[in-house]
Amino acid sequence: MDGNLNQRVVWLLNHTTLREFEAPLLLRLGLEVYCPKRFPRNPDNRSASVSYQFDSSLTIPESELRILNEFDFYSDPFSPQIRQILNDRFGTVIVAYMFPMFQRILESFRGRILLRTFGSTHPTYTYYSFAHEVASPAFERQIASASDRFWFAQAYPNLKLIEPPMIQRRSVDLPLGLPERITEHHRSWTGGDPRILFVCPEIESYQESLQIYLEFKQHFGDLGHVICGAQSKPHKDSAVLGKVDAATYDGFFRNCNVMFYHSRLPRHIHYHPLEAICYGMPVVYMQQGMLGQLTQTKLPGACDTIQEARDKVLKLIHCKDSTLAREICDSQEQIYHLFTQQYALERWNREFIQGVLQSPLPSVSQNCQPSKKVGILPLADHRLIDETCQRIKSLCKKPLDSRLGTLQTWNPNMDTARSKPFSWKTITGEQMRYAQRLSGHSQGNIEPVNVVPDDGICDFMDCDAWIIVGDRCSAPVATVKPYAFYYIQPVPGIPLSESVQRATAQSIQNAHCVLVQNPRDRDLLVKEYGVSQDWIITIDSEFDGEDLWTIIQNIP
Amino acid sequence: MDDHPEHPVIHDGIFLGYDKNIPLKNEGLGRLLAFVVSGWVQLPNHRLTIACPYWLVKDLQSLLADHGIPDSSYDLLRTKDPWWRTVQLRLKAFERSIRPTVHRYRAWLRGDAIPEHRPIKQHWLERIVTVDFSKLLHSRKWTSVTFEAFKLVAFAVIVFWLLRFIWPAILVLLIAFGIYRLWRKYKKKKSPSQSINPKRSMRKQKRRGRRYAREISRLIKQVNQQQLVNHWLVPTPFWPEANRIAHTKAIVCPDLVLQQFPLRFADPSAEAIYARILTTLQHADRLICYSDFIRTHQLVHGVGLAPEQIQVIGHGQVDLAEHLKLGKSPPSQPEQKQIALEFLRSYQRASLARNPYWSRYSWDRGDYVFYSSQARGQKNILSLLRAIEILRHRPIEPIRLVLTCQRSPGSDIDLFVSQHRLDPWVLFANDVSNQVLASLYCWAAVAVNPTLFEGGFPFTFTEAFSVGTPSLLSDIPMVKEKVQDPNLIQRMIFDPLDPQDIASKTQWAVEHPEELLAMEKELFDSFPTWQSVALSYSNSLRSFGIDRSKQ
Repeated sequence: MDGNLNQRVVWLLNHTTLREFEAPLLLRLGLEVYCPKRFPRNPDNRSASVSYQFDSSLTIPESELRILNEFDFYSDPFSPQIRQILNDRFGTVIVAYMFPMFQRILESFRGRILLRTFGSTHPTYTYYSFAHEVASPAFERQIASASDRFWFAQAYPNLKLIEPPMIQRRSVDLPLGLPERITEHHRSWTGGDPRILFVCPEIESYQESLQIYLEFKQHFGDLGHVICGAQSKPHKDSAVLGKVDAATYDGFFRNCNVMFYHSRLPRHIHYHPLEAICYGMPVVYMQQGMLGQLTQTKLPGACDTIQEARDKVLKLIHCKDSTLAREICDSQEQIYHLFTQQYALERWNREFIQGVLQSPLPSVSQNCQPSKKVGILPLADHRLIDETCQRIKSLCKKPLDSRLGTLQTWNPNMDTARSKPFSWKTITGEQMRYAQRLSGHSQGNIEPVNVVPDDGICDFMDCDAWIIVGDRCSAPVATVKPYAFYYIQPVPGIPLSESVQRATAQSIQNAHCVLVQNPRDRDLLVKEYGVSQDWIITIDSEFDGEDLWTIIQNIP
Repeated sequence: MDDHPEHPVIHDGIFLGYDKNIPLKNEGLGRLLAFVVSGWVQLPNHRLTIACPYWLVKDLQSLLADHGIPDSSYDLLRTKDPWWRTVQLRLKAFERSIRPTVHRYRAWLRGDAIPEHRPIKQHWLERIVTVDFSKLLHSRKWTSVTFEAFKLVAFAVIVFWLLRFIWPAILVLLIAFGIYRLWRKYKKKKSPSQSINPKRSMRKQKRRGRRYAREISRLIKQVNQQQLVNHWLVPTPFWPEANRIAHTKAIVCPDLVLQQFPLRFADPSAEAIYARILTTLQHADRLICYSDFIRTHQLVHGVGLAPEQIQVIGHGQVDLAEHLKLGKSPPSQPEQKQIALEFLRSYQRASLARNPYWSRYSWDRGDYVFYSSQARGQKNILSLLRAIEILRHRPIEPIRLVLTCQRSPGSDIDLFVSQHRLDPWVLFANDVSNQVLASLYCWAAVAVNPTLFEGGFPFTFTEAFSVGTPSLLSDIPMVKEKVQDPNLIQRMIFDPLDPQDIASKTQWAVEHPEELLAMEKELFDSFPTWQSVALSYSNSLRSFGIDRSKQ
């Protein structure tokens, strides 16, 4: 483990404006920052981009940085190598609320986890309840098991109010700020263009956007206006300009007489009203929305009704009331202050550096490393498999404990101190889903029939992980415990039936790593089972207990 | 109790939300409740109120009476009986009043507390229109006998007179009822699955759910209206509704066994229970559990609660010797053994007469190990059976096993016993009275508890020790929290998943009971009384964070 890991932060977000502010802020606070280089290209990520700018801050080996840069944290399952790099090199992950990435971090990362939240647009869902819907059944146990090293890093103080007590207890206020490229335009608004600046992206892509657009048109359509925001699908309205270049956008912020911000959502805000406030442009907004929540009193730009908003816009658009414009601009400075670098730096220093980073990590702070117990489970009662299981057991030294299973039937003379009798039994997909929720582990798809070890007592569920040994299984191994698959052919060359091969492939794919004894088996797994090389570890003659401990430790 | 200014009475409450048909007496949690209440009602300057829905009242009173807790020692806050239940209870009480001896005898057979004969208060109209058979048969006053006889004759005349007019209607009703029964029988034969029609059972479930929610809401309203009792203990996490109690409250979470053995609880019913438990815990302000392991491993890392929300209060000493007394004074050990032997012989005659292997078993001559537990996977009975099978093959005096669980046909336990022909070696003594339970402990060579998981230190240890029997316990964190003496660990604790180890330790314990008992004395003495446990509960209700009742 790297001594500097407390100083390194993985910033698992790709939002451009956000990165422009937060990554330099973290550097300024004396930390090293890693930003991901791959993300899914879809309308949800229209504001995302990649930057290599911060890689130079990292003091991790070049080869590891290359592996991280080639990895898609958003979509790919975390390979043993990725898990090891994250856990060995980084102490903190700041992660976006995106699935399955957030859940994989909860499952695989042993350091501090900060869920970066900026508010939800959904009227009823909380962050916790929505995660319940979209994540796998194991989610609630995973977040619970990380509860002493998890933080709900809210950008606005009211986000936690609707979350369950566990989230409320673990919340920290890490305010959002405006990047320098925006703050350098502070109070540069001059006005003069008698149009409303309105921002509404993806009008034709999302029903909600269309609704917002139509409402705006209904109430303000007769007044001069311009509508910005990226549009994946073209729009026939000439006022809808789509994504404009930076200079044009900057021009609108300087010259348009007023911005109308429609949102009534108390826990969500877009960037553009904040940008406008920074420019010093009068923003007319709804008091019920997040902007209204940020200040103690109702500011001159705030409106309770759409009629009030229209009245104010009318006064501003034709410069009929210069006092109102000045009042709005001056009062908005209160809001602007909450998004300045100075304010953010002070809060981040207090809450993140002095708070979060000072809390000890359970895995690092304890004098002795936490022990783990592994269940060694043969897939067949065969001499060669039995010998392999014995060998694995002999490699298990403290802090790694083991329990060896045997497929032989129990008899009074059996040495139960050495091995415990069990058999493989089938369970349905539905049963597996219930078990996953209780065990806090899930992986891959839920198949209709799965196999689990059955010893009539505790089914090896008290082990932290399993090592499955063999070359075939009648149905996929149920993913109710994390496991490594030790692939060994007791009799090479015997063909598998289609269903057995499929079940075996499924079991191998769901494993947290695959162990093989020789390159022949490795090639077979790559060719016949489509296993990625990254997931296979070849065990040679020098493989010892420490290597096994490293593998098991990195199994979530 | 009066509220004296110098010694103000501390009012505490226990909230119970068990649904209908939960056998309080058979549940470990029910027994634990009785132990805690028994300690609570003895606390000076404390007055306990128990809040429960109407359907629980009788069971609760009976459970507490079995543990020597009279109704007068606590206050009951209950919901009102619905009219049909009032009628039902009235009829039952009437039936009891006319045959009190039968009911006393039945209670004695069940091992329950013997009900006192309390004549029910009758309305003057009731006294006129009902016949008192006890008076008719036993009264020495000729006026009473004549009056009751007159009423009996009068009723007979009225009934015959009525029958003359309405017999055709009664006949028609009887025929209709007969046809209906035949039709039901035919339908059942045709489609046997009808009785477990999922839609019907779901509808029934929903109806029950609605009724439960309604009644619990009423109870919570009553609790919230309490002025004096504003500290409440909720003894299990099964009732998320309890979070609506506005007073200061602490929820007890014994354990989350479902998380520990997911494959044993992978079914929809367990899922529903788990969901309720999680909702309760996630919204609770303060919690109590019985061991550090449960606090750290399950409530903090399994549910995500903060450690400072949770207080650990361990169990007290269970004294079974109370059930082996003839008078009020405690008997000497030989007397106690003799009393226990009589109870066992009587049990043998009543319940084991048809068991060819155990009907003539000499309790005072053979050695047996005893395990009082239900048949659940985590109780690890299979390993104990394997250990007995191992011991059977050793050239030693036979060591048998007595279990209190039920032998369910087709279960792992049943299959193992059949397969290894262990019927002469294993007795399933389920549903025994407190006296028989104490007697079984008393005559056991050793009490062996191979459990894999408990909320706190297993009860069986103090239960056994209180009647002079040593114990062997499994190597689990809840046991290790209390047992730290290396010598005791070596002799008393075994690997629960290794039947060879269980067998070896059992053999040693059977051969050296006195030695083991002496080693366990200090451990037994370290357990507090239930009175001090109850005091800890009462104090904990007031010690957590801010007292909301004072806000």
